[in-house]
Amino acid sequence: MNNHLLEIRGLDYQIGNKKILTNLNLDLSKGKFQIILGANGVGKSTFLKILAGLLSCSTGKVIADKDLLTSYLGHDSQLYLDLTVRQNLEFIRGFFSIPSEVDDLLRRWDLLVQADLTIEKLSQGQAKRLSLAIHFAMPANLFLLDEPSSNLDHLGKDLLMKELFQLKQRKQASVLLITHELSDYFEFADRIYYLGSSGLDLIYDKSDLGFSLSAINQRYLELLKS
Amino acid sequence: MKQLQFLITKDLRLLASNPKDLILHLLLSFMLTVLIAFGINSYLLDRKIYPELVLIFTTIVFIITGSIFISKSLAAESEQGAINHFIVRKADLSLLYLSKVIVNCCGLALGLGISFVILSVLLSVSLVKFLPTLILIGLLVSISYSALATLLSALTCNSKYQSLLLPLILLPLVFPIFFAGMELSFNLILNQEFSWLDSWFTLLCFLNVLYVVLGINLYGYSLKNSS
Repeated sequence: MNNHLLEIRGLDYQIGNKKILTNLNLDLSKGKFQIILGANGVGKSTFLKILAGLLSCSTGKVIADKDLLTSYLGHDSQLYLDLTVRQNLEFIRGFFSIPSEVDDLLRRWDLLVQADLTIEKLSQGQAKRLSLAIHFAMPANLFLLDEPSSNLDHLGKDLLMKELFQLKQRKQASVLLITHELSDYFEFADRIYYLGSSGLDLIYDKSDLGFSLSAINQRYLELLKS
Repeated sequence: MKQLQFLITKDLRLLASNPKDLILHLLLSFMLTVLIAFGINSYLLDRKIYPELVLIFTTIVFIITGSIFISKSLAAESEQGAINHFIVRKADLSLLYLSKVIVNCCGLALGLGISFVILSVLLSVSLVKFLPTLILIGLLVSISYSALATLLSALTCNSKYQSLLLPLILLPLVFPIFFAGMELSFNLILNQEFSWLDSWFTLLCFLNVLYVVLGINLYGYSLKNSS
């Protein structure tokens, strides 16, 4: 399937009679960094869950490349609260055959001191760092992230940006990210979409020159108001 | 096999770090058993039927406390969405099921053992000479009960009333297991008979295979549809 990891065609999602997503079309290209913006409650997280395979669409198609390997991080930490940081990493590393060593991951995400604490004893930011450590350590070529910088302090954001920068440099993995903080991720973005009630609109493509962050922000604001 | 090992280690660690459900299960088994033994002794029933009473009440306590214990077995996976890792990565969910069955079975067998020992001691019923066969029967009952309850716990894991719903769904389906277990035990204790070819033993083995095979094939489907 050419250069796409995922092709989404005419995707609808509804719960009962309530339509959440209508006629979404999107191609997730290999090695590209794509961002989805949109108002609260418009269905961005639901869309990401469908792409991750956690929900099934009502109609439409999600066509996946045969080599697709997805790593997904939503709003939940996806951690075992009663296990320690180290035990969480040991389990995930062993079960999913992650090549990185546990101590390397702890060091990289500045969690060595908290290694023997249970998740319940961590701050939300520390737990988020651990979730991100697991997310990026997974052998994958598509990383789906839902507001990854929520709860992160300055250090955590810095670590996240470094990880995204490395991913971008390697050009092997695709990223689809949902955020409300466009300025944090603008430098990585190849394409930016706006998810509204009428579907997905492409509002920025890196190949089209002449778009600045302020212009995109202005356009985003107008779309939100409309 | 290595993945299953990682899952079992994780489930045992979860049980060790948060043993409140296991403790509740064992404590309830202990308290109910003591109460029952006290009740039986107070009514001065015919001592000849004491062995039967031990088996019947051990089974009743086992059904009640076991379902409470197993109903929480998926909580760690669903609480913060850790189950998502398995679904997104299309991992073999039957391994997750097998791990839960094994760990749940250990907890159940422990509860069954406690009830059995306490009732035997308090009612002065000596069953020592039947012990190896009784352990075998108890193990088979525990495995099939654990296999069935673990499967059904995936179906009810997102219900607000799971602790109530699971025993209700479970009850009609576990009767054959316990009938077979009790018939075998009665025969063993009262008639001193046990045969590998006994139809009740065949039924118990068949139910073990049936529930484990059903669980392996349906657990993933149940999880995905209830998440």
